[in-house]
Amino acid sequence: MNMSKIAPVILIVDDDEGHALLVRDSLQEAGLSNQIEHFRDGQSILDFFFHHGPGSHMKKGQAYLVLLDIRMPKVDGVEVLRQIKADKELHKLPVIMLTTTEDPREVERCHDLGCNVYLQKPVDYGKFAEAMRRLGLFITLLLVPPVTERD
Amino acid sequence: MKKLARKRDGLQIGGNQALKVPMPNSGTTLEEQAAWMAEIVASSDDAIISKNLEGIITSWNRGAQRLFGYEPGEAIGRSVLFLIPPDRQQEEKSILERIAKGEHVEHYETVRLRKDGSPVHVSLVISPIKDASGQIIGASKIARDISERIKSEQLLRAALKEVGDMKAALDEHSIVAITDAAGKITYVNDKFCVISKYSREELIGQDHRIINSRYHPKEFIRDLWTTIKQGKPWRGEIRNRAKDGSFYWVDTTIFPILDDEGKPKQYVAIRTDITTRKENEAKLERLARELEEKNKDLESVVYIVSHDLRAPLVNVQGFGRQLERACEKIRAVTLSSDAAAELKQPLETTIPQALRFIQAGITKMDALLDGFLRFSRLGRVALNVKPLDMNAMLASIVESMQFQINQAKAEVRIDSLPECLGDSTQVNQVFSNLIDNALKYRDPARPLVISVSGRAEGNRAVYAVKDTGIGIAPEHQPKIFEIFHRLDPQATTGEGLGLTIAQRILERQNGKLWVESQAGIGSTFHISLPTV
Repeated sequence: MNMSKIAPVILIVDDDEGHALLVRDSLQEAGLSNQIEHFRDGQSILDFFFHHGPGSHMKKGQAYLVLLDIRMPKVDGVEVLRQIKADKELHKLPVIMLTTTEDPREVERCHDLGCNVYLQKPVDYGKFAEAMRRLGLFITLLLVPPVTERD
Repeated sequence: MKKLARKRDGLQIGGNQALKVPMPNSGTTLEEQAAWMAEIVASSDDAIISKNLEGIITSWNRGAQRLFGYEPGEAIGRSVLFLIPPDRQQEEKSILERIAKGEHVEHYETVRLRKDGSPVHVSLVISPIKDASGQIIGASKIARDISERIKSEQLLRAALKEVGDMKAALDEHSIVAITDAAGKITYVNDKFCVISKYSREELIGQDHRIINSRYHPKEFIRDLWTTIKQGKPWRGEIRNRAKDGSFYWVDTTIFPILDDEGKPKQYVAIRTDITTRKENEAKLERLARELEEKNKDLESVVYIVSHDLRAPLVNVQGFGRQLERACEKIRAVTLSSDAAAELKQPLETTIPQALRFIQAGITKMDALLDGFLRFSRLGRVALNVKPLDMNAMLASIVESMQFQINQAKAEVRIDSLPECLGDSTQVNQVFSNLIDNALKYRDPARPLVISVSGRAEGNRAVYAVKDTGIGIAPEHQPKIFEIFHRLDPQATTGEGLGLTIAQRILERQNGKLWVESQAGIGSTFHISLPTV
């Protein structure tokens, strides 16, 4: 398994376009050059992974990393996490919960479902930028396996 | 025994007086018959006495001796008056008068005296004795001891009275009905009529279907009948319908009364009106449901606050920063150009100031949201209540706050404190908060002394955290426990939650928090916690 060679595509799943933009900006400021894609709700990312609908779908052999918000229209982040982690191929994908909620029960639920990291978006921009910088560092160090066969 | 005085061929027995008795049978000699009769009299369990018309005793059998305790020699020749209690002496006179007229006295129940002076209940049969010519010359008296019977009668009367009293007590308290084995109503008390609004006449002969509310399922009624038909009492709560259509609830016990074969012959139903209780229960249930819904609403509000209300703040803050940086870039470029003069004001003053206010506003709002969340989560934290060593707890609090205490040049005095029951973490939080407040609200003009004391008061431990700080004016005292209330927002830091949370913590542990304070002198916060 050749893991380290492929830079993962970062998939930001967030219904708040501003948040997605801020995350993208600060990750890029932190020096990340990965391709970044934005999904506006849980359904669109599931469609991407499970090859539903007309939109873009994931490609075999590509590595992905998911930055997942929780409260989103249609399908929420916890359900997306559950489906990813229940899939025998997708469950290897690193999923980072990135949300404004810090409710301990919500955190526990996500950990139970197998999220890799739980990060709260700090309101304070200084803290936010710092969190994103660390996240960027974490991502560069993370070995992300490419998606192989699924179905 | 009436035949004793029949005028026929008489024979003489006992003493010097003649007693005419009928012949037992013919064919025996007079002497044999006399001896036979004498033996009957002598061996009788009843006392048989004869007396003349003056009341002087002329014969005294063994039964009389047993009953009254006198030997024949002690009694014969004396007036019978000595057997009669002083208050009944008149009786003898009237008896003798009746005898003299030839009347019989049958089963006359009275009291006589024994030799030892004790009274004895007797039943008397007194008949005249006539001589051969038919002249009444005296009386025979047969006295039977009826003490046992009288005693039984008294017991029976007492038992009947007790039953009657019990029934009266039951009727006073309960709704009572009795039915026969088939369930037909044979008795109802007044309370039954009042609550069911039917008259007694309307109820007797009916069965309980007359008050059926159709509220209970068939199985419920079937189970009731199965139970009582087996001779077992049944207990339950029943909704009935009164004559006017209104409903009432009764707590019901049906008690089967069994016949000699052990089969129910009657059912006694004792009921208590529980309509009010049932209404209250229903109300309580409704309130509990409403409360549950409200709690769910509150939970979702908390969730919305924690996520949705915060999400825009991330943008305002984030893009505010981006504006700020863009502004800096513009400034760097424009200041060197000719356009500088006109842009100087907005770029150097207006925009940075606006951004500063925006940032400060967001910081404040974020702190409030954070505090609100912490407060609302208090109710969900599981409590671990156990005995707390308060001396150890306060020592550790003081140790962890030593830096701030030194900074404030404060003196902290801790008395010996009683134990209490509470959640260690949360009670620690309360005391830390109170000491922290004392340090914050100190009076710079005076040295700060914080003293913590405690005493046992019945089932509770009451602690006091007293300071020599600025104190709280009376009109402000009720407000200090309000959420987000801060007495002097400029002077100190914090979001105004400490005391609100402290009070909430204590309320959850059956504790209390209250304050006594005088502006310019200091405050004392009292904490009461249970000890058992």
